[in-house]
Amino acid sequence: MMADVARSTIRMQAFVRKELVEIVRQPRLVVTLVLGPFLILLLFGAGLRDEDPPVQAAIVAPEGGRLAALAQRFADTSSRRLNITDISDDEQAALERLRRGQLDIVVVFPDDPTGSVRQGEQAVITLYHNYIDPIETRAVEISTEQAAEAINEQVSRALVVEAQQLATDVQERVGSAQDRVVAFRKAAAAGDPAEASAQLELLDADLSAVRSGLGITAGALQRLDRQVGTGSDSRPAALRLFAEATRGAEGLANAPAAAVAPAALDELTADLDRLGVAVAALRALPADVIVSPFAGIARRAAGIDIGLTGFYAPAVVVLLLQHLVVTFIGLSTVREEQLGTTELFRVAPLSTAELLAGKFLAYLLLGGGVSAVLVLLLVTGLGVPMLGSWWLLACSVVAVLSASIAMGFVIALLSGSDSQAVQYAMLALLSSIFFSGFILSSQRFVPALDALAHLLPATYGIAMLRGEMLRGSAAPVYLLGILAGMTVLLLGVAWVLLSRRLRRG
Amino acid sequence: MSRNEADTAGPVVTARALTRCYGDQAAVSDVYLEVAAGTIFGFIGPSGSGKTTTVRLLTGIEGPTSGEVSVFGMPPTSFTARDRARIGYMPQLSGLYPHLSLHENLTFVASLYGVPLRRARRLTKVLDFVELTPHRGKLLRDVSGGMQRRLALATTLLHEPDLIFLDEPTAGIDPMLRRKFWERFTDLKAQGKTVFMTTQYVGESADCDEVGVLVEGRLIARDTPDALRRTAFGGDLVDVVAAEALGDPLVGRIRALRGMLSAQRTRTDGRGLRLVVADADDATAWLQDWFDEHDVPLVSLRHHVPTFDDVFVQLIQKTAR
Repeated sequence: MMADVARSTIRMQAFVRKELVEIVRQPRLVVTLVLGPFLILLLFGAGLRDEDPPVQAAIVAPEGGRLAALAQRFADTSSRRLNITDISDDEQAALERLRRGQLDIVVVFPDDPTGSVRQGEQAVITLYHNYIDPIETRAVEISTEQAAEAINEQVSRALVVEAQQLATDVQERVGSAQDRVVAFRKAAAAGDPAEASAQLELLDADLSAVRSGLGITAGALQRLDRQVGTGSDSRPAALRLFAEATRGAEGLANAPAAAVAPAALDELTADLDRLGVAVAALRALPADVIVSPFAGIARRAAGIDIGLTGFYAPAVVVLLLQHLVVTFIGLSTVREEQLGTTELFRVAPLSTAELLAGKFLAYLLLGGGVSAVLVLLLVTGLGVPMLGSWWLLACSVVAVLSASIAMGFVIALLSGSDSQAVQYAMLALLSSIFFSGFILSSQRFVPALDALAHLLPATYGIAMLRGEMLRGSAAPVYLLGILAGMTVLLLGVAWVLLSRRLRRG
Repeated sequence: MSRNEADTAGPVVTARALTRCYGDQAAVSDVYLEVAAGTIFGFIGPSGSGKTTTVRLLTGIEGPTSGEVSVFGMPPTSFTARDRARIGYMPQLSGLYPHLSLHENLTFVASLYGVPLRRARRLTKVLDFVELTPHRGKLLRDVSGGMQRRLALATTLLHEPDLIFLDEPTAGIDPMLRRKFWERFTDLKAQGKTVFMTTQYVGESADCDEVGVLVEGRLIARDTPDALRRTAFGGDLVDVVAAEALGDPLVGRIRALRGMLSAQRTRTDGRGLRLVVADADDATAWLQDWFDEHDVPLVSLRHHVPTFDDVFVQLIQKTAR
């Protein structure tokens, strides 16, 4: 029994040694498959510009007037990426230049935006472009929406600035009204009805001015209140203030001085005080804050900066490992068939399990070594973050390698020739690039394709390595479990296929 | 009785009505074989005659379409790992790895057969035997085809199997080394090992204990080399060269002699005859007496041992007829 175990171990180690020595004896292959992708990634990281390439743009807007200014403002508010080469009113000429490829985008402003607004419709700014790349197209769409939003904010800001200027007058009138109340109280207390009536008339005039000025000011306050949403009443706070300020004054001017109740005066004074405070606050607030009270700042929870290289690096490692083992196993198995080695295996006292185990261990060691080198190069050479635990990272690598090796066996045993093995390996690689989350999250696919993505070890590997390296989070145990299950299942299939191939008789 | 003793008591290899078809084509048809333990069995036949298929059937790589095959007393397709370890197999394609050195290839096959890791002496010995020790560090792809065959033979022998199947082991080997190979086969036989080999070199059959001749999948002859010679030519051959031309009446009287199977002229000057007799050793004595009695002076009278090339051609021609 012990002798059988020893012999079995000797056979397995023979495969481990043989596979590793054979690969090491082909340094060009190793360089191509291992250092090649790293160098490409290095070039990618070093050669990638921080800014997107400039976009050549033209703006079409009616000559003169506010729209031309609006167009200029659009140009100003656009990102630095946008290079406005021309502002004119000739839409056809601009579109012709776009068709000839001289321009990347043409922004067309509406002829009569005011008319559209008056009819209760939005004035549409149309952006024509020549992009075919869906990602670029989406970026242009987002940029267009952002630019339109920026213009809207500028319009709102102008209104707010105007309101703030009016608020200065309102504040002066509020102060004057407060002075009139004091003067009225004094005249009434001194028993001077004529002076009291005069002060009431002056008070009425001040309140009328406040009322008219407050119409616009309250609009700005109302906007702020609605967007921030701090009012407990269903009515905006500014409107309440306005109503309160005017309610207390109603009928005061026409009433005999003697009939003015002190309580009404107290209430009016309190209202004016509060209105004064609110208007002062409106004046004190920057117009940008009123128009856009919220500003968005995205901060990564891990608190580090991750560039494109950093984002793609862990995924490249996973794809490379999967492709490496699938290709090597495929070529090794097919060549053994072509060399006639399989015939030796069929005569020798070798079991399917020993052959599978030996090769499995060989490629696990190979993949482990390659991944260690690659990750170290990425972390030390390219500055890719490694926030998580190295041990957990190693576990994830072993899990994804195991599943990839098992997949490699199945692919190899389904291949009839070198070229077929390479083609199948390429298909696995392409599927992984498109569906595994390397470029787009697998969640963006319809359920059927999402399911397909989850048949690939790379899908889990990319999620785990990105999590461990870039977020510092440990891979969920269920992902390791899925990969382990996948390994067992695929090894089972490989065992059946290999047993058929080695079947004697 | 141990299993090995039981095996060596009867034939090591037995085939009865062994047939292997691929589709409608029979690669091997109705072959009967028995190979005794401790012998060298040579399998000869033209290219495509089914020799390799027979070896594959005997090693269990393939199963027969019909008929029976037994090795060590059991069908090869039901061998255990331990049974397989008793077999050495050298295929036509070496099956070894071009990117491994000769020594690494040898080590790999040794491990396949579970040879213990303390095996350096054994490896050195077998490398010495095939004269590859100076080249042990070279990659397989960098050595000649002959060296690759020598290494393949070394890998077949290193686990010291009881039964050795060699599919054209001497192909591409120079005559000196081929001779050495044969010395080794003889040694193996002396150790009680059984060698079953196919060969393109028909002459090598002479060194076998028993020879099978396979033509178009059919075993047309199986016997000892001497017996096969007799089968091919109908008896032993005796060549006669007279001092003077032999007249037709004299040749007619020679043909009519008792024990004379046939007589054919062999020279254009009429002085030569090739006689076919039942037993050449016996015949040379009484033929000498007969020629003396009839005053026919002879230049030579000797037993002619035909080459196996001639035997092979003769057997095939007989089969074709």
